[in-house]
Amino acid sequence: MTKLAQWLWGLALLGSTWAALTMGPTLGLELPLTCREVLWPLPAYLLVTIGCFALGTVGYRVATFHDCEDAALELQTQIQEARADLARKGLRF
Amino acid sequence: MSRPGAGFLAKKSTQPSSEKIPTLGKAQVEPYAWHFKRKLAALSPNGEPPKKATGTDQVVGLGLVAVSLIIFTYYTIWVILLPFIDSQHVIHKYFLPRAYAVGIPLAVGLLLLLFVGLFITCVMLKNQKVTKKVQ
Repeated sequence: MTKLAQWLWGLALLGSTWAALTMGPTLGLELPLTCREVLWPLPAYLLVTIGCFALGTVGYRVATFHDCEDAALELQTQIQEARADLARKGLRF
Repeated sequence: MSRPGAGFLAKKSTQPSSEKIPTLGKAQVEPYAWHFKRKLAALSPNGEPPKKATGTDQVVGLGLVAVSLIIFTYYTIWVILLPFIDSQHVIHKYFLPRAYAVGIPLAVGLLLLLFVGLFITCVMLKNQKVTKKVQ
């Protein structure tokens, strides 16, 4: 099974569980009110949590990345050279 | 082995050329290093390389971490903890009605999709204009 199929399978499982539990009361399943209150925004909560985690990881990696000044300078000179070269050959930016 | 001592050579020739990774030795890079240093001197008239501030990187990174933590804690308290707190407690004053807990992320997500779509459209239009000009 491919990774995509695994992910979709897992998502479908979780989604159907959530749907069954939120629409349970209409089919006869009784849950305490507080549990239902926590349950129905759960997909949005998981999405926001994943987004926050991604943002936090990106921010942390930006803050702790070591600067390589020499490599940055070399890259800038290479970019300028390549730009001049390609402009001479007729490529428009 | 048909020929003695041919084992090593035979191994080399049977290696597919796609496996060989070209590496540049120092002797090959050295003449270009002089070239780069000259360009560098032409860039900065003082002769000293421009300083790269780690400061702004750290500030931006830590700012992102702080923002994500704030959003996470506020949203967790809102969605998970509030239903278990007595409705007469004063903390409910600081949180919006519960319907917004799904509405605001949904609206923000749709806005993000809109911006991404607009950006892609702009880039594609720019590309089309460039190719038309070249033609």
